[in-house]
Amino acid sequence: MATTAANAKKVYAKASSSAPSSGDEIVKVKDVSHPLKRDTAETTGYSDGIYKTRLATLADVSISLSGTEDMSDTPQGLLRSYVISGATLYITVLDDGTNGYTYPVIVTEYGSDGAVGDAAGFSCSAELNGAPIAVP
Amino acid sequence: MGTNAAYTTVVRAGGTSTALTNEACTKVTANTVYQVTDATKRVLDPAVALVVQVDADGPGGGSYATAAATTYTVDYLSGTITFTSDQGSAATVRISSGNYIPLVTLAKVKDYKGTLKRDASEASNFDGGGYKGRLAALLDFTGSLTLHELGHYDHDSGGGTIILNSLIAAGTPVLLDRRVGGSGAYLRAWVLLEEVGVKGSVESVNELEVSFSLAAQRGTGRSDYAAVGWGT
Repeated sequence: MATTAANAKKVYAKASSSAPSSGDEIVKVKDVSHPLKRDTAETTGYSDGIYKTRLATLADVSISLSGTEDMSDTPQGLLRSYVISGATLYITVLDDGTNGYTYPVIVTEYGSDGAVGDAAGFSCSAELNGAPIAVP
Repeated sequence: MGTNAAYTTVVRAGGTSTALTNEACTKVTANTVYQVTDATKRVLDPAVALVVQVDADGPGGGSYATAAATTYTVDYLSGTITFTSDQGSAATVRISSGNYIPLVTLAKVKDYKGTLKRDASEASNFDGGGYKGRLAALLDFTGSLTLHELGHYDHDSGGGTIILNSLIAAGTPVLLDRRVGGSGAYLRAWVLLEEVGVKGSVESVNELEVSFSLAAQRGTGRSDYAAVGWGT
């Protein structure tokens, strides 16, 4: 397994689950996180002695993006419009530029900020709404 | 590329509600969507009843007739009227009466933050294949401004007044408009000011910190709301 540079990351936003193309890439993203989480249910019983036991239940993903706001970028515009519409958006994250997942999400937060000496920035959060699709 | 230095940000607040009389609209889409032609009059005041009129055969013959309120929807933030049916290619549309909100630039803003939030209720079920499902719920907008002007300053150099101390004291909703790059895409929202406070230690400059949150306004006599939205 090779160490990969983070600058190889690709992040896409699209209205459908089909494979994204270069035109779907969200420009100017500086940071992205998308940890896969698994809820667990504790199943410890008297028979287990001193050790807790657990069963994996529902899987979840929370996505956070941040970067420089670009009001002319169509994929960035999807983040802004989908937080208002509440419809399911498809965000693809390829951590090495090739491998990753497409996540169906509800965009739960879009923020704009900018102090006078900075660039206008954005931040965005989204929560999973269905099964991720492996890419490629 | 549309990135912008934050110093190009312009934040404006809604000024004094002003009457519209026979304000022309321009067709935007397919004989159904019409927008107030004058860009300075596109923020419509939801507190004042709107009367929309259509001249089905356009200029020349015929005359304007008032459109039934149920035959269109109103986007109060962009001054857009969307009819449920085709008005015909020759039709002209106007707002015969109503009010608009002029926008006044807030002076000396040094920082802006605005966040749209959408609640997402979990709706996981056995059909989800082990993955959580969610349904979008309530939408909210919160944010803050920092200014180098104090709260008693009147930002409206014209005939009206926009004094932040007075606005929070009155508790009335304010229209807020933010854009970067001086023109182009904007975010508009009706908000209530929640805090207006000065900070400034002895060695620094006085800064006014303002926080706000969404206060959606129902249009008078309508089911449309003036809330929050993006536009160009």
